[in-house]
Amino acid sequence: MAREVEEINASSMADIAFLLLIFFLVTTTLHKEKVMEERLPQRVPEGQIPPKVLPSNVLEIVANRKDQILLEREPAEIEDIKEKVKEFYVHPLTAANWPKLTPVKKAEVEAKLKLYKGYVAQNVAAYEDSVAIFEKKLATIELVGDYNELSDKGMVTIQLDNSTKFDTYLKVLDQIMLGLNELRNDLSVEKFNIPYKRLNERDEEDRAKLKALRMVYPKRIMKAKNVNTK
Amino acid sequence: MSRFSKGKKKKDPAISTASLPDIVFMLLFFFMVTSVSKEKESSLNIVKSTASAVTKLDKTKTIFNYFIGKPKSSKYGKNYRVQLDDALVPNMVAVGTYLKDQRAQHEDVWNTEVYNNFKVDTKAEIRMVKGVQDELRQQDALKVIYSVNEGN
Repeated sequence: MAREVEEINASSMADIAFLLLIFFLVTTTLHKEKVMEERLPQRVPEGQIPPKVLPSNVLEIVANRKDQILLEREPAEIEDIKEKVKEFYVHPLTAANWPKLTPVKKAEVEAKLKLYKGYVAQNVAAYEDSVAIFEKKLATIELVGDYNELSDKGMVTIQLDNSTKFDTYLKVLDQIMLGLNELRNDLSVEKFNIPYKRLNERDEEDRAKLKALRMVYPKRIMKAKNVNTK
Repeated sequence: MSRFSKGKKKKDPAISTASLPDIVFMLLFFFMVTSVSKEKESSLNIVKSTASAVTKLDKTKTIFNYFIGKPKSSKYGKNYRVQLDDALVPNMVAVGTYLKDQRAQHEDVWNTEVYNNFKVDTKAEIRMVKGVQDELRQQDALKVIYSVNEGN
């Protein structure tokens, strides 16, 4: 009589299935929406006159209704913006056509901080903000060392026409951020030996580093009121 | 008297179906993981811009979507329109009214957790975006994000 062939053992099938499942779980990525961030300016009371700005303090970018770019009053391509932005943040201390850069030194910051803390101890509340600012500066120095601080008045301004295409505006914004991120990245690699993009906002140590990098190279974009040409 | 019986065909064993559930579950999980729930249907044609300095959208935040583009159907005209939720808005005043309603509902997180996501067609004029953003500023909603395609 013929011997019955044994049934194939299927118990390992589950293992194979799980292996495949895990493989796909690991290799497939969820599609995540990519976005660019922007913060709108605060609402201003009507009739308030905006402060005058010195031409040397701003990097002026103008886009007209035909989507042509004027960079510091000269015709330019969108791709040129990136280098100009980098120059805006990093230039010789004596450069007259760019915003003022002030070297921030540890000893000076510590002295100022001590002084202001003394005032606050005497209940002069007006100095509380100063203390906060100088504490931030000190934290930055602890991480990246002495740095050059961009003047408060330094701004990248974008002036658009009402008929400028959205794409042009976004590309301008993108170029500014690219320039800024490159500077931050260079500093990050130099000081922390890690690319800027790899720093994790959720990690406490990384967040301090991000704050320091953003303190040295702050995002300062101002949108001027749109013009209207017919 | 031979030990091997010849001529008689052996019966094929039945194929076990015990693993079938595993396979099915595996497929199920696979599709569950890879599928993306459809973005809210827009009645506007929108071609997104490409940018490289981008971040990932944090889905844990409260997000309001603003679509700006040309209507797909000609019954809504040929001009660029703004869409909030599911409906095209007639004008910017309606945007302001909508925002006031939303603000009342989300007062506690209004300026911290609420992100205003703009999905704008590349060719749309900036005045449309500006118009909506002016209404946002009136309601102190200042966090704006632009949905883009990542490129180099």
